[in-house]
Amino acid sequence: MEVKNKKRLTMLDAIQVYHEGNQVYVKISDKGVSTTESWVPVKFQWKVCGTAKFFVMLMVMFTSIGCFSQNMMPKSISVSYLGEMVTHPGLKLTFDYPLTEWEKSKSGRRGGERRIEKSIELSPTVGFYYHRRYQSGVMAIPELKFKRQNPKGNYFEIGAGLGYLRTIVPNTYEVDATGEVSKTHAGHNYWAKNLFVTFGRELKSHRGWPMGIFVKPQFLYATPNFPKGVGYFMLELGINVKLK
Amino acid sequence: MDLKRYMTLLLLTMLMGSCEKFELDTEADTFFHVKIVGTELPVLVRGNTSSKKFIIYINGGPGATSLDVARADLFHWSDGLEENFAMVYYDQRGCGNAQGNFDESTLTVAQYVRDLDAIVTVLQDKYDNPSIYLMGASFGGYIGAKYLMDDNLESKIDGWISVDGAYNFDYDLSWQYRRTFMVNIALEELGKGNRLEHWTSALEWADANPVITTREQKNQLREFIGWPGQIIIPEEESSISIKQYLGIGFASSYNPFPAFLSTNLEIVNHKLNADAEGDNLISEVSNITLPSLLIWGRYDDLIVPEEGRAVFDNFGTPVGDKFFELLPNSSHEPYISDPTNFKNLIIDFVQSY
Repeated sequence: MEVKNKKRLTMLDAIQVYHEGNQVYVKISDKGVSTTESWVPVKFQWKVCGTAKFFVMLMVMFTSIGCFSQNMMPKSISVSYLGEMVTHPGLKLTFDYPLTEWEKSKSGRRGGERRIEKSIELSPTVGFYYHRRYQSGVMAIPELKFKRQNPKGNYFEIGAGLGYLRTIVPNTYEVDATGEVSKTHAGHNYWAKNLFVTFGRELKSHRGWPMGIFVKPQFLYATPNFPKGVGYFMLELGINVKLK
Repeated sequence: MDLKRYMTLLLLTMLMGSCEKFELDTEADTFFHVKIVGTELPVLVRGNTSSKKFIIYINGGPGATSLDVARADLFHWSDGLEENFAMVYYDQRGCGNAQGNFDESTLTVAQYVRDLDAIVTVLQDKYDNPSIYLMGASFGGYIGAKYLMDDNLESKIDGWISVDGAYNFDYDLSWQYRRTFMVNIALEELGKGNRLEHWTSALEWADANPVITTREQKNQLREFIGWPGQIIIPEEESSISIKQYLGIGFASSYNPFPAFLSTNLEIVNHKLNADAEGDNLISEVSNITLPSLLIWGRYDDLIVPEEGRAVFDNFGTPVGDKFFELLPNSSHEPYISDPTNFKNLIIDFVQSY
């Protein structure tokens, strides 16, 4: 399929998304060698059943993560403590891929010039948390964020994510029709949507690895759940390592 | 601490936390879920399980919560009740930390009764058939009464404690009982020589209004009785400290978001009240025959003790095994306004049966 005059939607090398009118095309490059034949027209159909939606989402998410890992090193990786309601512990890994980056110069208070770095990044994340007696959660959430960093290395991010959360409800019993009691597995699949801000600071290079620390409060809303969804407050405290 | 150690510690904590013991102990603290029709109901068993006497608290609302009350020990039941018995707290379907995306059509009183029975069955199984008592407050009284009106279910229970329970959802009839309540209060207050003019006017108004139906009449009746703290109805406000709030939010099994920042209370309240509307159990409680303790606050203006007395008179329980206790300094929540007498009544009753 020949692709001409299509408007580019992403700045990624490994995955390029274009659209022409209502038709969206995706190109996944094979180790940097791409041909026009690899363009795939994508039809979006949102009104599919919950299970199908879930598997489509997982496929897209993990396909993109797989492509990233094969063809593209992330710009940075973060490892963080993930505290559901702050104190219920967990862990989260974040892989940052800049979609677009730019700089802006500003005149400083003392007449000098300050260069502000800005970027929009796509960050696939995986994580889990453990809330004793309530539930454990495992999640995979791609996040999209805007980042602004000043010359001192302090940075701020704001963004949102949409992904998958699986909960596991502990110590669950059920009673069958005969009154027999048995232990059973319980848990729920959710669409997980989060909103977050990040306050971070780059540290001096440690053994040649530029590192940073950050704090990232966020609100996560998981659907569907009675009555519509269930909310969580989470706090991440982590370190960020630049890979390139 | 390096990452490997952190992960090991986290996994150990998770494994330890996932094992709950159903032991007979004087200071038990066991948590489990009961999975039923699309939801998992969280259940906390705390206190003296070695007594083999379990009191299941059925909260009111409808739509209120229990586990946060237990976590904060809001009614101080750890002192007294939990020392003597095992207290069982649970969040009802659609409330608090009950989990799952169940069908809203299951928000019915009948399903709440089935949910309660599942909890009773699990307790019987895990604690080797202990004595089980139900304690229903307000709307919880209605759920409990509905449970006990089924003979098969009643046979699983050893005693019924009703705290200002709701047995009648024929609201016109409720207003008649409220009128009687006002008349009785007026006579009592006149007998004490209090606010003679006010209560005389109340009696005259009651004579002129034998049936209460209009909004004006209801407002006028309220004017005579007054709001809590205004004339005779005591204020019942439980205090909760910042430490307790923080404890519930950050250091407990509770997720405060679905419990306090959701529309679930409104939906559950609406659905269950609609389901119950028009139902009148005052005569039907003759089917209940197990030992029963009905506790009422003298100044409960929501479900008035005159209505409670009518319920009590119709209970099918033999006279020697049913008790109607009026607490003179209480309104709708005697466990807040008169905790000592409230707990003593329960301890005496449960120890007797």
